[in-house]
Amino acid sequence: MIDRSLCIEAFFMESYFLKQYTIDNLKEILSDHDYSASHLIEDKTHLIYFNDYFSDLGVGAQTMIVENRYIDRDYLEDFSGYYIRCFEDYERSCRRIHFFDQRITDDEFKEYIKGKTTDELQDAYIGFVTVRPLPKTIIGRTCLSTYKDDDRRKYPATRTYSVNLFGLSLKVDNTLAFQEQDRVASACATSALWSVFQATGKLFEHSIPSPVVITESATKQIPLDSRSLPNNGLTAEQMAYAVREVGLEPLSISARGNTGLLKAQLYAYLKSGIPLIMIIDLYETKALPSLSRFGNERHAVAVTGFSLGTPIPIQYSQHSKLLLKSSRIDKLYVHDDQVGPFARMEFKNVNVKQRDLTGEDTNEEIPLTVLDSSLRDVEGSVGDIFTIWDTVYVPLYHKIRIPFQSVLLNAIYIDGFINEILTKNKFLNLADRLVWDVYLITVNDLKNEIRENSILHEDKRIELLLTNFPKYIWRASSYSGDNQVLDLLFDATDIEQGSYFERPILYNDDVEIVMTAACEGINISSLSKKIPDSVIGIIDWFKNNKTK
Amino acid sequence: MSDKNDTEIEILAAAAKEWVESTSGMSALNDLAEKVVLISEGMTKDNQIDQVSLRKPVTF
Repeated sequence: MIDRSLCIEAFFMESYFLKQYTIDNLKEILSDHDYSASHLIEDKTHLIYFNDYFSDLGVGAQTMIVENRYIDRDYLEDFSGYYIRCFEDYERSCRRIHFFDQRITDDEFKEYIKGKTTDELQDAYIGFVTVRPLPKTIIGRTCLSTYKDDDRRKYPATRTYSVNLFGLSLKVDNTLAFQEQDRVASACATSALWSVFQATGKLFEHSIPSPVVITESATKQIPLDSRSLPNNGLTAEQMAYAVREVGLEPLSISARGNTGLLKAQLYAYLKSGIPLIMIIDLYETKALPSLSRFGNERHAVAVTGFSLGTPIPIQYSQHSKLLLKSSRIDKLYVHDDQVGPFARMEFKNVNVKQRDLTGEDTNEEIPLTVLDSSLRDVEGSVGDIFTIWDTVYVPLYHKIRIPFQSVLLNAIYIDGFINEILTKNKFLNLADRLVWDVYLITVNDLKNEIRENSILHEDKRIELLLTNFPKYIWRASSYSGDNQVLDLLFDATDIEQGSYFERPILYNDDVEIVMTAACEGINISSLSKKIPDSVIGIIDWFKNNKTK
Repeated sequence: MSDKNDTEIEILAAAAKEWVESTSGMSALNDLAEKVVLISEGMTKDNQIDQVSLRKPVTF
């Protein structure tokens, strides 16, 4: 007679094991398979990241539950596209490590499997790391909760992932999947694209391709001069092509010489949940003030969040006193496949030697804003490499046509009108200079917000809720201190010729009355033809006194 | 909500209208437009993609 309890115990043992979280235990699990060895794992920058993240100063991980056999769709596609044809018998299944911030014993976990409700387990759940059965590039699909979204740290390009662990339904909120390049199906460009598509796939409803499919589609029309698999990387054009292949349009921006404009653009798209791909050049910190490249390679990361660590907004430029909320960004959070998910990159001011026409350093030094990175140099030191951004790709739904700069120009003009004309001449009295929050928003999110808004009078709220708006809207919101003053809404799906201004939302009665009267007094035909058409649209809206 | 009474804000609004209608008001609005043009030109330059750099067959 078979002892069923022994059989079940064997099943338990075969399927998973529990371990207390320590960084050494994690290293042991990561290197505990046929192809890897601890010396190959030891050098990984990801371990430094995990050590910080899981520590008591981070999320405070206590328990790891290791699923011994986990079929990961992305690895499986990479496996069928490459590894299966190797002579070496690579495994098709991965391991998955689940992390919890509470002590869980083996007996307690068994009770969950046997039917205990999972509320407590869910509360303790941090997320998971998939371990690929490869020699070194073992970090597969990883979903780890972000630190709490507070006034400073913002992770807008995140979503919820459902997890099924032996029938237990768990979820990881506020995260975005990450994986390191395997240097076969993907390099850093493919890994960054893969992470970005994890968010845009949900946002714009497109299929989310695996790394091998991204690499193949990127190199299909614009082949490399060398083989595409194993992959040593993609060119910028190939990355743009990969974005088109999922049905999105790659908007490229640079802003190399204008940090304020770069921050404003990153913020505007990120706040709406769209992550961006940033191409960066690597430089050696030790060589400063000379600019010395770290190797000849470039690097690509997915920008997924930002920190508003600068307390007060900074004036946009010497020609405009415009204050943008985005100017408070001091750090970016990026999925850097060589470091980890939501890795910090901090804006830093350095002095560099100016170069002459032949490219030689002169003795004159000029200030430059760069981004610090957590990448390791050849000696394995962290902090010795900084980066300078080159191009940023925004993967956009094709109907989002109006570029950010056009909207910003409207905000600059209206900010000047309110602050430099109406307030300066004492027709208006605002407690603080306006701070503008310019970003993309969907009609659904806007209406949800209007519905919850307690400042707007009920009549105004109802009128706005019943008004038809386009699906994507550029919103320029202005605040005086903590008080909402005025929103300018623009149709993001319109064309740039003519006015794409939709309407304002007026929160402040004084501003509404004075703006309406002032605009009534403006003779539009006498205005400079250089004024953007949408600004005329704004004046025209007030002129016709459509405010209710 | 207004922190002034109705008459006070209406007087200010009427004064704003009158000022904007005046030559100095119109000239201030047009000066503002010139500033925006300058900023716009700077923005276009700053946002320009270095096509040569992009087309370099550099992979990453």
